[in-house]
Amino acid sequence: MTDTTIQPAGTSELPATRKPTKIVQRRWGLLLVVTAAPHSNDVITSAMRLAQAVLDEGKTVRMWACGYANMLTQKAHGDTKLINTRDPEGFYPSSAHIVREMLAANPGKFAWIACTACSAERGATDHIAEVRFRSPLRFVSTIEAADQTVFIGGA
Amino acid sequence: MADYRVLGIIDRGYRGAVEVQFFDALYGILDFRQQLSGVALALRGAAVTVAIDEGDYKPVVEFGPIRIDTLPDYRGSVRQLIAEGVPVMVDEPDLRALGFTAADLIEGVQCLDTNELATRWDEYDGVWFV
Amino acid sequence: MGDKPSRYLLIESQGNWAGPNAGRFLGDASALAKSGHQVSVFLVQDGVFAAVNDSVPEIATLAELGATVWADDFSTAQRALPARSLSPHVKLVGMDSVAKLLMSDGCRAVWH
Repeated sequence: MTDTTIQPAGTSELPATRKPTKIVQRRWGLLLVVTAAPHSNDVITSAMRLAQAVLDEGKTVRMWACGYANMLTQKAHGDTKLINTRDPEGFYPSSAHIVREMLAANPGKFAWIACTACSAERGATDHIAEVRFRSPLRFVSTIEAADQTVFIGGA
Repeated sequence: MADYRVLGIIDRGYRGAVEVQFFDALYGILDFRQQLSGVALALRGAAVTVAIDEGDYKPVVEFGPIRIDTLPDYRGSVRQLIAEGVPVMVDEPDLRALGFTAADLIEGVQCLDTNELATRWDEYDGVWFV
Repeated sequence: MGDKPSRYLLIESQGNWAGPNAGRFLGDASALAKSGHQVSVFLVQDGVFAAVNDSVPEIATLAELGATVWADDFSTAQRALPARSLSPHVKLVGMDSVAKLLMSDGCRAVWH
């Protein structure tokens, strides 16, 4: 999925080869910036519930993971959590699996961005393929591309 | 099994749901119990509510078509600890501050001022704020 | 700089058991309400402990100022709070109510 498209500006006075281009950035409904760490409190659950509730309103949602929130989508998780020694046959989906399922259930409407700097700082750069890597240099432009932004701190 | 006795104290509850599922602090107590000669658990602060006897909470969340029914089962874990003979103690002042009494607790859970436990810390080899 | 918000949604996730800053955040909500803003407060996660009876006086203050105070139904169920009487100033809601308000025109959300 791309979030920018390049369109001719349509200025008929210029030769076709010299037409300036105008970058039109795709707009999103909600940008949820999550910097708080998993396993610290219920923030990840709340953020994902809020994301789903906004999707249910027919809006689009982007999640921007900062800090240790980037651990959620590491390939190393696989599809399941570690074995529950008290329920070895039980199926416990990993966070990466849950994010992948949410992305698959909402094509073009839900996106997950991993901050390149936070991922590198934490040695957590091996994200599942569905996650988009984005530099913090594009943070504000990502905010500007959303109708609404919620910043959840705690990193 | 090591000859090592531990008093575990949990004073911060609810540290993750979707990403945690069974792997919470109560599971840690249950799992480490096998390696220890003795373990007891004290609950303080907001964590006292994991020992409230109630059946409204369902460990389920749905994200559109995705249903996750393996969220932490706080009260189930406390019941399991009691069933396995682990003493579970709840702080009475904190319980009262949240509007509960000892009558609201899961059967077998003890209610006391957990500061008084400090005088018994030397009965344990380790006191862990989990 | 964008348009000024016409309403505020303040989301309190930490609660009075996490230290004094939760109370300060509810004080921010009161200050906004006193200055004439439309304010809604959503208590979520450990923030819902502020909804227990009259344990947090800022909740009644907010109600007196005309602010809406919501508590998350999922978080209260996790913490066994429906078994207790909650403050009469607080209404239990689901995340759908929050989503509607959040995505309404002119709403600014601040998460603590």
